[in-house]
Amino acid sequence: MSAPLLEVRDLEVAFDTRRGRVKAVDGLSFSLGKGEIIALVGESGCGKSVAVRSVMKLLPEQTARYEAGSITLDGKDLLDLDDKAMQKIRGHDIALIFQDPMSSLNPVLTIGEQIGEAISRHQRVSRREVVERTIELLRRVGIPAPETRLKAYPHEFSGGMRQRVMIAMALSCNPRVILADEITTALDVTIQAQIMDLLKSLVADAGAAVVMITHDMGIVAGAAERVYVMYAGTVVETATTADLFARPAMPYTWGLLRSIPSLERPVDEPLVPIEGLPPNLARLEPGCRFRPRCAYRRAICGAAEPPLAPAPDGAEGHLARCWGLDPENGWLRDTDWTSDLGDAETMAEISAAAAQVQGEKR
Amino acid sequence: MLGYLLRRLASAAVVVVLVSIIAFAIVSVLPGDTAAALLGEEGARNSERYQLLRQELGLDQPIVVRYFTWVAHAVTGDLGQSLRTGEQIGPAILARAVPTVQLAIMALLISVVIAIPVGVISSVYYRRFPDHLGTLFALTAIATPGFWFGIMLIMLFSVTLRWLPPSGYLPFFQDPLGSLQLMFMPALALATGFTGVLIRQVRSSVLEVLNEDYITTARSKGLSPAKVLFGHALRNALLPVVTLVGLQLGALFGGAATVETVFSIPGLGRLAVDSIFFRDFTMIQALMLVLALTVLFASVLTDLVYSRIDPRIRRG
Repeated sequence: MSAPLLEVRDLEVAFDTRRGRVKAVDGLSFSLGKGEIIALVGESGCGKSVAVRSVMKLLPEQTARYEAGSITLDGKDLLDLDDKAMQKIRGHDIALIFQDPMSSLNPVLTIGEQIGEAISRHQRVSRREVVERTIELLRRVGIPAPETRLKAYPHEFSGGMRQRVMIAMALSCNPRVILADEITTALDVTIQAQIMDLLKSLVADAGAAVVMITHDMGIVAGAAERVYVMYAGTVVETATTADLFARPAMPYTWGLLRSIPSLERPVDEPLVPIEGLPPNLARLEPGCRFRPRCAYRRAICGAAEPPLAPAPDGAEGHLARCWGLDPENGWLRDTDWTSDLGDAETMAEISAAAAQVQGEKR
Repeated sequence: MLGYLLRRLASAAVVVVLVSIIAFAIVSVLPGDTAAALLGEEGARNSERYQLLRQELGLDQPIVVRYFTWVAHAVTGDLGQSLRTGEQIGPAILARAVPTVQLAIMALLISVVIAIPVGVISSVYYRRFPDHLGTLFALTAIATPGFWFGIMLIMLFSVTLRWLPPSGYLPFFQDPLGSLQLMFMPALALATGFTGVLIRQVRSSVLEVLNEDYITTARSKGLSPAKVLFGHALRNALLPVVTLVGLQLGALFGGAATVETVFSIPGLGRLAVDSIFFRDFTMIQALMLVLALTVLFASVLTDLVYSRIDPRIRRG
């Protein structure tokens, strides 16, 4: 593989809160090659959104702290750049598409104004050319009658149409990297597929690389080449999409895969949720981050955090963070995740702990 | 758009009717009546003269009849005669409204011109020194009574520095510069409290808007902070501010009473104060109606402005 286009190394991002500093991203690494599509997957609150926003340095300056690591785009560390230099990169080299198209367009500006603004910010073009290019973009994302829709306001569009507008906006300056933050979550299922297909085809045309953020394993399977499974601010497993679905290595990934409904399984077979809640990042316990919710846990899991090490299947670039996979003492290396759901007693403990937390909240 | 305007006006009409009833009723339930006020305490003891005057004024009629008579005259512009001066109320109010309108507009402009920049700076420097300074300024302004501030202004600018004339009134069209000079201190005094409130509103609504997703979208396009603030945030943030300004217009007219007294401006506020002192019932009644109409007009105007800047209302 040639040098990656975008590389995030050991990134640590913390927020100053009233109850002290909270690490939202803790030792995150991933890399993105030219034209590649990768996915960051995890439950809400695992630091995915903070991670993409930190790539564009869009986090609130007053509270967000980039504590360690690097974010390199073409060999340039973005963390060294000031805001002025970042402005030239935002929208031009890296573009961002948001989760909720309802709230991510400005309600008092026409969509023509909002797309045109992105074009004229980075390119010296005449006003007429901006309009022409905006129309062309809207046509490319499949908005009917773009000449008239140009003057419409966001509230006159449906959710799916707005997400198309957002995609048009992101593509307006032919960025090399597109960050797509849960772009289908707020949409109807039928529209989700349309939007994903649209994104994939446009990205292929433009040669852009995409970092997809999602909690939906189905979308990952259909679009991404490589997956990074995130948990509590860090990567717990990464592999090519094929490897990950064929031989997921560690318990959290198993949990994610078990919670997807499948057409092959009988309809009355219940889905298996991951018990418990993601950890409170302000009060992380030592050891493995997933330990409190892991039904396969053993004593060593509470002692130290496992390293991100090669997974037992031996596929290149398949890494996982789990003591159970340790080449010498690992007890999960040959576990069949589809039949073995872990230790029943441990599972009961987890459920009890989760119920107690729920009770305290009320 | 036209339909929206018509609907808005129709609902305003209902309010006008209600206000006219209330204005009429309040004056009617006050102890003593117009006849008693005219005759004075001594004269009213003379029961025969009192009854005669009541008949003459139509006060012996049932209240409903009197109300409709009043309304019937009012819609033709005839609001009756002032009990105090005997002049026609309509023209009298019109003449006194001119200084008050000028005062209110100037006060409003001063408030807006001060409050928007201060509020925006406060929100941009949230919880840092400029914000603390702006907040201190706003709270001081809210806590300062307008009439007291007016007296302090007179002492500073007229008595000590001798820069501005202390009081009086010149019609704007007769001598624009002189009129503005004379009206500057009263307008500033009238603007104090509202300026403070407006600063707080601008600050909080800009802060709220800056947290919206579309602001992050704007930043993600590579726009500079200034473009994000003025191009994207401010217009949204000003929506609640416009509402507040519209609602406050009525309160400004009320506040004008004390300020006009301090600066001897022959405006509506002074007229109201004088009329109340002299129990000029017909005048009070008419003034209440006019004030209510002004507030209504301001709120319709606010809605129209609102629909100009918020496309969701325009077509919705």
